[in-house]
Formats: sequence, C-alpha cells, structure tokens
Amino acid sequence: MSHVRVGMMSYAHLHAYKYSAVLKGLEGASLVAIADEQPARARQAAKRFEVEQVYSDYQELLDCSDIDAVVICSPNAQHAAQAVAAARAGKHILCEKPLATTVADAQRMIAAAQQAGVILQTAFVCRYDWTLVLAREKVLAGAIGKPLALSGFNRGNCPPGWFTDPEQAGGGAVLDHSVHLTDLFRWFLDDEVEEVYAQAGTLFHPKLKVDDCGLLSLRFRSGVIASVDPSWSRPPSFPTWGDFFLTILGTKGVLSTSDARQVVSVYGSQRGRQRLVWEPWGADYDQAMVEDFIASICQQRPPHASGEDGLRALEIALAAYQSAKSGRPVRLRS
Amino acid sequence: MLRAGIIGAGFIGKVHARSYPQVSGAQVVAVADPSRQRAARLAKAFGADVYTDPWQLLKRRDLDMVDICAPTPLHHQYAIGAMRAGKHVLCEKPIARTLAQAKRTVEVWQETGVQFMVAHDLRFCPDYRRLKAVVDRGDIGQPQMAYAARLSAFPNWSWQNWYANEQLSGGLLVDMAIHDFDFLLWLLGPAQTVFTRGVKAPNAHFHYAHATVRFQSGALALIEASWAHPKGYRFRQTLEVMGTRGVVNLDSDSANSLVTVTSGGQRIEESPLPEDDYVLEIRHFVDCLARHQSPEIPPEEAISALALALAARTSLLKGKPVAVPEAL
Repeated sequence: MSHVRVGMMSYAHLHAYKYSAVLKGLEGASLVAIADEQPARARQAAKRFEVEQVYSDYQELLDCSDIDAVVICSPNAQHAAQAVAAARAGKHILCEKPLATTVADAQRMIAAAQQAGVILQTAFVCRYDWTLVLAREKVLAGAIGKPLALSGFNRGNCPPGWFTDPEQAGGGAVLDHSVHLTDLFRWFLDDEVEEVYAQAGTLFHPKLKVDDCGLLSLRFRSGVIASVDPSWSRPPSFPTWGDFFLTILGTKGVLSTSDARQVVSVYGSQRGRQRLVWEPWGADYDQAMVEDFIASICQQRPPHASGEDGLRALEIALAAYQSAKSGRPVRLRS
Repeated sequence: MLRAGIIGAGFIGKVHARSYPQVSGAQVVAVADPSRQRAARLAKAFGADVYTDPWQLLKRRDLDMVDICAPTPLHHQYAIGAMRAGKHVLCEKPIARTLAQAKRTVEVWQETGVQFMVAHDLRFCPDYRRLKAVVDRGDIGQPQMAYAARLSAFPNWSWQNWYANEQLSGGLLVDMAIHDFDFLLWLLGPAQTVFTRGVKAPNAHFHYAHATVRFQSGALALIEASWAHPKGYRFRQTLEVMGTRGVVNLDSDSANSLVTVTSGGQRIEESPLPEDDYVLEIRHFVDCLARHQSPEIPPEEAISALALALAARTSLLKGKPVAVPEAL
C-alpha cells in the first residue's frame, strides 16, 4: 500500500484534532471520512479538515470500502466495540490510550485485529517524544549502567467532560495518566511488572466520581522498582496542561527527562488571565506517531506500540485500583 | 555567654562547630571524640578542651549545653547523661535509633526540666521555611499531596562507614529520608500508613528507596531517597506540595543564584547565603535557652519522625504496607 485513506472515529478526545491536522499534512495518507455520534461535532470537524464523508453512525464509516484505516478517539469505554467492528471491516486501527477499560475488552480488540490481520496500535505518543527516544537509546547503550529504579511523573489539569465520568472513562487520573509512564518503563526495561502497590483518591476535586490522584509503587520481574505520580494535581494557574518527567537511576549513573525545558516562557495575558505560560517548541511527537502508524501499514510491519502494549499498561492501572481498594500489593499474572 | 560542649567531631560535628562563631551567645569550650586528633582539630579554633571520653566532658560543671553529633545509636545515652547532669541538649537527628530509646530520652527530659531539641535542620532551611509559610497562608488551598526527594551519592565519610551499617544507622530511611518525614509531618499532620520499596547495593545496605505515605488527613506523599546516585552527583533536595487551589515547589538544583564558568569550561553553581540552616538552628536553640522559651521542634515531633521512618523501614523489609504507630 502506498497511500492510506483514513477515517476518524470520534472527536471526543481532543487529540483527535491534532491527529486530523497531522493526517491532512501527510503525503502518504489522506483524511477521507469522519464519524462522530454528535452530528454537530462531526460537521464542525468535517468543515475544519475539509472532509466530505461525514457520518453519525460509526458502522457507516466502517462500511466504506475505500477506507484503509481508522483512528479511534472516542471515550475509553467505547474503544472496544469500535475497534472490534473496525477490525472485522478490515481497517487498520490507531486507538487512543488507555486501550480499553477492562482486560476482557482489550483482549477482544487484540484478538479481532489478529484474526482480521490488521494493525492495532495503541497511541502511546511518549514513545515518539524525541527526548525520550534518545533517553532510551542511552539507557540501552549502557550510559547509566544497569537500571535500578525509575520514577515518573505525569501530572495534569483536571480534564473536562467524559474523562471524569466513570462509565465512559473507566477510571480517573490513575488510568488516564499512569499508562504513558508504565508503557515507557516497559519499553525502556524490556521487562514486565510483577507487583503493584497503589494509593488513589479524589483529593483535589471532591465532587468528581473518579479518582483525581494516586501514587503507584511497582516492582518489575528483574527487581527494578518504579514509582508513578499520575495525578490531576496541576492548578489552572500552572504554566501548561501538566508536566511529564522521568528519572532512571542506574548502577553507573542517573538520567532525567523533562517536558518543561524545551519551552519558551511567556509572561503575557492569555485568555484574559495574567500568568506564566510555557509554549513548547520540541519535536512534534503526535506527528511522529501518526506517521509511524501510516508507515507500518504501508510496510506491513508491526507498530511500535501494539495492542498488547496497551493491554499491559491497562493491567497495571487496574491492579493499582485493586491495590488502592484493598490496601495491599497486587501481583500480576505472569 | 553559654558554654557548649560538642560530642562527636565527625562530619556533622564539624558542620556544627563551624557554625558557633556566627551564633552570638554561645561558645564551644569542650569537644569530645574517641579520636583525640579529630577532637583536637575541632577544638583548636575555639581553644576548647579535648576529651576522648564523652562522659568526662559531661562531668564538667561549667557546661550549659551539650551538642550531640555522635553516631545515631549513641544519641540516647549521651542525651540522657547530659540531661541528668543538668545540661541543655541539642541532639542531631534522628532523636535515637529505636523508639524505646527515644521515649526514654523524652521521659528523662521531662523529669530533668532541661531544654531539649532534635536538630531537624530542614525546618531552618530558608527555602523549606518559605514553602511552609506559603502553605500555611492558604495560597494553595488545602495541601493534599506532596513529593519530597533527597538524592545523593553514597556518603562515604562516616566513621568506620557506620551509615552503611543499617543496624547502626537504620539505613537511608532513618538517617536521610527522616528529614523529609519530619518536614511532611510538620506540614501535613500525623501519618497513617506507609509502603516502601528499595534497591540494595550489591550484598549490602539499601541505597535507594521510595515510600508512599497516607496521612490521617487523607493526604498522600511520595518520598524518594537515594545514596545510589553516581559519584560526583551534586546532592539534590526537592519538595513539592499540591493543594486544592495550587502547587508550590522548591528544588536545590534550580536555586543556584551564582554561576561561575572558568576558562576550561569548569562550571560552579552556588546558592550563597550569609547564614546556613545549621547557624539558624543552633542560634534558635541558644536564643531559646537565653529567653527560657521552648524550641520550635518539640521532642515529641522528633519521635513521630522516627516512628514514621522506622515504619517505612519495616515496610521495606517486609514488603507490606505498615500502619504508623501513634508516637506517644
């Protein structure tokens, strides 16, 4: 395949707009159809991205024989049904993280994609962050010796809408934000988590029906340990949506990454509010991820973050909830 | 002028000793250390007397206060001995190696009526103090989460390497992370449960640990402590507190107000202050003695810090969450 025709499935997750913009600019792909259960949102996106085929029913989009691939950005709980239907219709799939809200759903998605022989990629954008790509290369090359302990922070503002609806999101901050870090840990270490201990709570936005904060303590099979802070603890006055940093301590050194460095600091007034704003200028990881999705379809190779990777990160988050509830460490199946 | 005796002329004894000239109202008149040479080196600057036996120092009638800078497992003996001899006591953290020793020390303190403060110097660091003031003022709303880290290469300077002996020092949780445990207790109130994981140096002590603490208020904290950072790594301490209406943080790595780059590319980063936390801490204690006021750090709080550090250590050894005991 030399040109991939893509359909967007839902704009519920705001990343959909970014992915659409990237697709519009790619030579090897085109954005040809949009489906969204909210017709107004679908029409608006279609206008913005100059797309002619607009559907309010996802199946109608999947029935189009001229579409090769879909990008799923619906609320988490809908990922499974949409991905399974997409796989059955023979479409390659890029699915927003978390892959699903239950292990059974994630497994169904993986099985359906396998059966249909289509790609199922989990949208773990951090694997395409150039700083993290280089960090991993250094770790693999032994720059800090053998890794001993990792700590990861992915804290953000409290997201709006369905993100805080337990039915649609399947969880709160722990699910939403831990998966990026646990996926990176697995990717850096080429190892699986063996035991999870976690605390979770709703401490910042007491009216929420989901957790808005937590702390995870992980042990990998190799004995490497890791901590994660996935909380929605950044106030509206924070200079950006959130922060993301990672430290890896090894036997011969330590390595740290931060997303708060490749920014310009703006001391201005934005949306009427006087505050410091960080505007990033680092390499575009969304672009790199969508390009890689298209490239993996064209080259018929596995994606860099598979459905299996999505499932593993989901299992860790769900074990964290189980631990937070029971107050005890939870062992993952091997 | 108060007359002070220092017990222990090792790393922290030296730090304390060099602070006294900046504390008007106290002078060092005696130094004790099993190594006469080490004691003499400290004593020289003050023309102070030298002892190889701390008990001989404690016998001196003209001492008003004793500053205990000996290794942790000796704290309680000398603190109790000094109190019984009627001396005021400033004692390095932790208050003692075990809770029983700590409680006994506090009992004797209450019987004797001398002044007693455990030197949790973080409470006198200007950056930590400023952060505490911001939280107390309500600027970030109700504090709900915290992250504290203390990262360093292994401190290889201790007497017979006692830091590495967990029976003696309690390991990096009891010796180092206790700074953060104490500060977080001061900030967030009593702790409820702690869960700790760690990594051991080959066939040796734990040299990295992370602990998650739930406080009785419901607040959560992550504490990171490392002695496993590479040789030459510049000691780093950071604290972030997250509240219902905002976030406040400090980081020693981004506090360097003076940067000098010399020909050849050597880069020196400094955060200069006319008086460091040790001067402020010793001056506070000396001022309290002069004014007959209670020091800012009640001994009971030093016990709570030890209780949390020991619970964190128990969790580390057992691999299970541990309920933090009510200290007193």
